[in-house]
Amino acid sequence: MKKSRKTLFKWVAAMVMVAMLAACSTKAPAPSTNTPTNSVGDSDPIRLTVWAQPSLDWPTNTDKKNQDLYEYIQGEMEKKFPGIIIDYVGKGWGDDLRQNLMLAVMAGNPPDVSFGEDFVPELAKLGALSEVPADFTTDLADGPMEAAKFEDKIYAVSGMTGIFALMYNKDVMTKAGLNPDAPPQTWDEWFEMSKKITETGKGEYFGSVVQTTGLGGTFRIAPFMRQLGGDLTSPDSEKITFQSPENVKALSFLKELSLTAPSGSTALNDENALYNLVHHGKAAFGVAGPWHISWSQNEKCNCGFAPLPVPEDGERANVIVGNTLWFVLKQSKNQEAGMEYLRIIASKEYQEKFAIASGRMPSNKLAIANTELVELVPQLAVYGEIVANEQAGPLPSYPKNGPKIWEAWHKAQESVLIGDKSIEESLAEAQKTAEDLLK
Amino acid sequence: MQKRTRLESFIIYGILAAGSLIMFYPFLFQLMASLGTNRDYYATFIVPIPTEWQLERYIQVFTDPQVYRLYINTLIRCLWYIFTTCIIALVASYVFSKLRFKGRDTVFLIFLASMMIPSQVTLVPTYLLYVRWPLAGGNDWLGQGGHGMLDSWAALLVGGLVPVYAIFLMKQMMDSLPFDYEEAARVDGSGVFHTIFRIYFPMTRPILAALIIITFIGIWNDYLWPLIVINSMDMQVIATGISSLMGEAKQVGRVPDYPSIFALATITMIPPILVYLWLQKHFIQAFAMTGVKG
Amino acid sequence: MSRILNKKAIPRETLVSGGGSAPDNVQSIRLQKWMRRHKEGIIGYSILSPMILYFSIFAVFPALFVIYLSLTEWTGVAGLPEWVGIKNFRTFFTQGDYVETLIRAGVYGIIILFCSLIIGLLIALLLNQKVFGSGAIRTIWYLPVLVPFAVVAQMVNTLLSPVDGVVKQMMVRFGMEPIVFQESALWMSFWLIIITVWKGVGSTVIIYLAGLQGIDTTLYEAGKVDGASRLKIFWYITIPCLRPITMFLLITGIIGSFQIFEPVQLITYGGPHGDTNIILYRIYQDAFQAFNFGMASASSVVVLVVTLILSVMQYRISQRRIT
Repeated sequence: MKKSRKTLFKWVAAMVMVAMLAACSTKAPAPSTNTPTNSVGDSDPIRLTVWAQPSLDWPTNTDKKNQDLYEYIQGEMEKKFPGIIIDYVGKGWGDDLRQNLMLAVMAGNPPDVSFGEDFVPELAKLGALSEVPADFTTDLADGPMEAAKFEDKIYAVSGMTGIFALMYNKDVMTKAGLNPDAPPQTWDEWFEMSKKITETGKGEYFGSVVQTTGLGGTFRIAPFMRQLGGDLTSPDSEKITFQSPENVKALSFLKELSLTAPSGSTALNDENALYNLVHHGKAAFGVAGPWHISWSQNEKCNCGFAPLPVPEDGERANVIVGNTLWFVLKQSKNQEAGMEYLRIIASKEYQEKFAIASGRMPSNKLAIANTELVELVPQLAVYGEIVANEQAGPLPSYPKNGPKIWEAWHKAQESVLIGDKSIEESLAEAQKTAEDLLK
Repeated sequence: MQKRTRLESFIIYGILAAGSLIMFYPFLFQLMASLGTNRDYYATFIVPIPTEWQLERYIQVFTDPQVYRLYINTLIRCLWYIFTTCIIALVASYVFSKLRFKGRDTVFLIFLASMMIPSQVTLVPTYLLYVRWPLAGGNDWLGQGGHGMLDSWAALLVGGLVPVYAIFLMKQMMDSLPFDYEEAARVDGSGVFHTIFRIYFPMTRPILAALIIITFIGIWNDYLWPLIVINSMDMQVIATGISSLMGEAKQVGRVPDYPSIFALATITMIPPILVYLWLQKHFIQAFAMTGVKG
Repeated sequence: MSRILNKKAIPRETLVSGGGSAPDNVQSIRLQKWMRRHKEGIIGYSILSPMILYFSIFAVFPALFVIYLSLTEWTGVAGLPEWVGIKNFRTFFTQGDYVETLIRAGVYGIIILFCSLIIGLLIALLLNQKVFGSGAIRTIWYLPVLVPFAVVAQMVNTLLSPVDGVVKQMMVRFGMEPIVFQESALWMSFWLIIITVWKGVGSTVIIYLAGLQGIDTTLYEAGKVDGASRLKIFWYITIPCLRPITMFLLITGIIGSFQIFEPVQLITYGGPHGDTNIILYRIYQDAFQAFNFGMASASSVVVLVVTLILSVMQYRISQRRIT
């Protein structure tokens, strides 16, 4: 009797707290309606926290090009917000960044501005992002901006973008007796060359690296599925199409190609180490975004870039990648300053400066057209050509249970490319899991 | 006991030496790799042999204000938890062991039962509890509006203040002490805290030494919790800070500088090893004194 | 507790006795008597109550909240937890790899436990033989326990790298076909177990050493007087004396086996393709990667129940053995 009374009391107390906690957490992320707007002439300088690395490197890097960019942003911001202090915080990229952001949103202390790649619709759906005025984005290319929308509203601006090309190490091709200026144009050519290089390399150098794990792997598989007309979902993201025959064909090609890869490299989940194999002459081919231009130069690679090889019965197609999207969090108390920051990031002036300094691809159409940029980074012309001529969109965002559906796909992709599981079976299994999750 | 034959000695030393070598190998590897160059690392056969000795890396790491900060933060945490663990374990174990009253054993059992719950299991509610803590970090009394104890020292110092394992170990020790001490103290009319700190404190020193070691290691190596509750760079602790520094060294677009990574790894290991060496002679004694004895 | 409640009935008695100041007097005397009789309890509870309060907030409450959350669907970021009944538990037992990861955790745990016990006992026995440098050897065996897993993981990942890892390079030097460990769930399980044993066996050694030193030496003397061989002394004296310790290690070890987390989180990430995933990492993924707190909590409740059952079973068995 006495015991049960005690337990009961504890239980009631706990339930009250549960109710309180649940109630609190619902209300917390709601936007504060009386957001203090910061106008010119405020006595206290505004402090803007930005989770990102808007330049080539952190402000601590005193390299001139790097410093110029930070100074440019600071100068532009000061025009409207004199004395503003911007704190740049590194919170990783990809899944790490996503996790950190979600936790911070949950806790109620997210940054004012952050960047990200593939989770803008997810955050927008949760009501965590502020809508971006449409006139910020008029000059931004449509492809990259597709990933910034949720239910036809814009929640982010694209700071730079990217698309995939084939990177080839000319020295390795020469060593294997191939013409270093004639990269493969079809799947068959690619596979044949790759095989030949692996054979002549005798363990010294190999054909192609194939990234198999996680999101990085999916990014580099998707273009080949799309070349054949396949994809992960139907165009409206409503239906899962994992096990389409096109996808099976693309994966079987990549599986075959991966047999020419440097031994052990298919099991690498470290992107850095994987592509340095190409840069350092251990492999000839790799699927690479525009960030590989400066990276391969830093590693002193004699590397060329060409459009991705196309299958016999396919068309050129691609995936938007390395697309940094910048957004303002709804919980931020500096909405105006945050939006101003986004405006600067989207502007032609900033994107030009950034592209020239970094060799990365701007998403502002006016900045892409800048001739000085192509002169400085001639390899970008290849990427420009790809953008102009290939159908490209971002990876899909699933309306429900996104992370779990991705997990199912990654598992299938890895068990096909690393393991010996049958492609059809793995894809069918993933398809079923994904469909269940979407219900 | 009979004298060992030569063969037996040989076998004993052989097994011990081989085993110890395996146990020590990763540390040896790490130390050697941190002293050489990246080229030495890539040329490794069993253990990297530095062609040119480079100590600058250690000097660089030690003078890095960021690493310094990590050290200080973690040390503050360790000291706080060592202090509270020892005091609370002493007092609580005294209550559980020497005072007789109704419900005592029930409370102790409930405490013990909580040890079975893996911390990851209650991570989410615990996190929410910190975030929605009333009147902290801009929260109102309902816990709304701010970010609670997140990103503050409270998040690093408030949790785990009733260390059940420590109370358990200390109680085992107290149970083994004869009740005569207690009786004598009561006859003298000595107060509770006086009894605990004057009479029991000196007798439980080995256990306290063991608790210091265990607590120090636990806090020094704590990773998941600080990772989740601390955003600010100023409050990072060693485990999270070193991981992100190592991550930076392996960033995409750079050749990882392995010696730096291993130098970072080495310096994180030094303090727990020093604490262990300082107190180790009490360590086995402590276990022998508590319930695990034969 | 109940006694306090009973004493609240005092006023009725005092009414009967009547009188102006008498009730107070009687009451205070009774109170004093009561206080004296319950002195230890009062001291005990006044010391314990802040701890109990703290404990209810920081340990009991989260555990209860997990149970509540397990019956809901919630992202933690927006909206109220939505009540879904036992849906999450049905998912646990019918879909995905939940049951698989639970069983795998148990299998890993048992293998790790037995390896640690055997190696730990062996080394402790050898170290107990008055060997030269035993202090240094003991320290070496305890070293891995002292270092953060985040650092160990960095080291392991570098050593096992499939492209330029030292283990691969060594295999090549010895003229072997290099094995790509990361492609095989079996190999990664192997390394997971090796690393966990390596990291934790030091504690087992220390505890066994403590146990060996606690054995009454007169038992050995008696054995020797009886002319027993050393093997016999070992078998009939040392081993039985170590049984309580082994029991203790088994109990804590089996419960601990469901708590393996860091090696998976930091070394295999559950891979290749989820084949080394274990339940706690699954929970972590559900909670902090998928932000599916309902599912994460449901798995947590299952883990709680399993550990509870195991503990009770272990307790029963150990009671039977001892009596």
